[in-house]
Amino acid sequence: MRKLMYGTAAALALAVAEGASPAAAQAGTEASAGQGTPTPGLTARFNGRYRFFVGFVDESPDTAFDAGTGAKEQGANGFDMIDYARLFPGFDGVAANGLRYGASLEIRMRSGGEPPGDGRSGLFYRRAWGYLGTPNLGQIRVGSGPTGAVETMHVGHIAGFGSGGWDGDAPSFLIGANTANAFWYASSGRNNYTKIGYYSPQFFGFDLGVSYGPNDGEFGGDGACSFANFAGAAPQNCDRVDQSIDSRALVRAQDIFEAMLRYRGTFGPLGVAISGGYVGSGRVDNLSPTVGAVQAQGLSVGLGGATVSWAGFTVGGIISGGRANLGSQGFTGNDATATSLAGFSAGSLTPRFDVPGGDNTNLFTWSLGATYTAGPYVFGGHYFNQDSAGHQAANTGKRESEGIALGITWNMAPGLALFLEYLWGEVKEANVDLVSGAAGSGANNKVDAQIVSLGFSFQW
Amino acid sequence: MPDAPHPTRAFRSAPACGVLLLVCGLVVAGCGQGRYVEQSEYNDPARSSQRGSLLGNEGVFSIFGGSTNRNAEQGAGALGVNAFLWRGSLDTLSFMPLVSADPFGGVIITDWYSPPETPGERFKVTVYILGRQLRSDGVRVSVFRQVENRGQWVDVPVSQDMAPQLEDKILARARDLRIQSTQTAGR
Repeated sequence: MRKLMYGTAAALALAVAEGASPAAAQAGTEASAGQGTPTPGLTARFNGRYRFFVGFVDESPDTAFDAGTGAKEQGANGFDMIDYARLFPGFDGVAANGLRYGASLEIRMRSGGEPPGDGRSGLFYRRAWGYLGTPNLGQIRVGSGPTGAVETMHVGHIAGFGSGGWDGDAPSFLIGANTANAFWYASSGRNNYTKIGYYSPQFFGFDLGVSYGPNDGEFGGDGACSFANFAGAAPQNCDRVDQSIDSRALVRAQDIFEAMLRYRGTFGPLGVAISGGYVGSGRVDNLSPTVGAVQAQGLSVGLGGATVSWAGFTVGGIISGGRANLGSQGFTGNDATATSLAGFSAGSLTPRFDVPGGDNTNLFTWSLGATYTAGPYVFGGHYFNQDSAGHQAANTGKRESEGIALGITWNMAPGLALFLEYLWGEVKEANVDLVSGAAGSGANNKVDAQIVSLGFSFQW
Repeated sequence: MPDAPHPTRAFRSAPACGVLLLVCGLVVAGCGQGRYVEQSEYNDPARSSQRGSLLGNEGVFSIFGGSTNRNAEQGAGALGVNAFLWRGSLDTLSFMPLVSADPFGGVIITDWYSPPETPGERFKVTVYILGRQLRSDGVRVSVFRQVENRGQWVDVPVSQDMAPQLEDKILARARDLRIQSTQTAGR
């Protein structure tokens, strides 16, 4: 913008012409952001979000039977109502010398497990982070949450419709393992560890971020990390464990490194954003002397995404793949061997094992989505597809999951929206009971779910 | 005697730290030419919850007299015009002093601004946001220019390209903000 103001009228006309072309994106980028120095001071924020849903749920399985007699013991209602709230207190500050800084918290309702009539049992911190930086040097982000490069900078993940589709709140209707974990880069299982990241200024439309976290835990380590646990009772609860004979500890990542490069620009009526990056980590070493003990492999995953926006349309996609699994293996024994792998819990990006003669499928995921905005209405949808090793007992084959979400949002007033959303998802893996997590079973090798929900969203 | 550092941990840490330092060094070496990336340009759930909020884009109140937020002039309250164009306009013109910013009528009026390099001329900009939709014709800019002549400010013509180019800059920023908003994670 300053270039538009400098010099004579003739020079101004030339500068404006230069600033308008995509080839002079640097000038255009500077101008479009308005690089004046904000007034020193502090601004406090107390934003929040509350959602209420009415949902019709059809999932399989939704019944439980007595293992011995086969008699039906549990059934599920196909109609439910849920609600969920988040609070976002924080502040932003500018020092007289231009230093920019601030901090944010995300506080959520503790959900699930409360007996009828007891109401909510409390709140919990989902994320807590801070930042400081300067216009010329970029910024450092520290803490848990949007401080890792992948979560903070990825593009192509379309969830701005309904409650967010498979990345929204509607999956909370589902029972247990029927939940497909659609988007590992936006999930709590991969972004909650405490870390530090550096984020550059934007040059010619490009900016980059790199981050590092030594251990896979947050808030000073896991809350259940007593010495009794560390010494053998439950070492998986201690994020600083990096050597163990206990297989339950072997799925933690160590030395987690993330890097992302992003480009954003406009070309005539098109807005374009592209990102590419990498997640790598070390592992917890298996100290077991047992013959056949296997080692987990550190994470090594690349991802790329893009978004194109034109008029009211936005189309985006994201793809990722590499050495990783989705979900912790839930070991029950002290030794991780090729035959002792047992149990499964749906989760996010975790180290994969190399099991001799077993299933060592690398992770491959992709998703596509689109939204269209017409006045107060937003129409949107996305599809995701995932292949992963899943349960790594010998020869169970890969785990496959996919899902689709469609939604309509009516922005009735600032901060008030009504939305209608449809979700369908499926997870399958041969020879694995996806409800109990046990290998070698022909039961529940496929679980699926459909949800139709109508809800209100309040934001302040 | 404490245990020796775990050799694999030391080996794993060194490449990551080295890359991190190298990147930081490269960026610092090339510093001074870039644009500071605002918090709203990251996938930040705290910021994404603010878009379209009852209280406008940011903030409940400011203390110590100032605000980091270029939108603070709009105050707390609902917007009557497209929020992306509103925010894009304020971001684009943030280095100019504002006289008024009406989020209901969609009008932003700057005060006269003299670039430090050319103190003998000054500019004033008026931005009109024409509706609730993010459209290429949804913003209209008027630019006024004066030059100093014997102690008096005299109106002079402005290049016909200046206002349309400012409109393009505002639209580009608005699109950037909207791209970020479509990536809101629901969880």
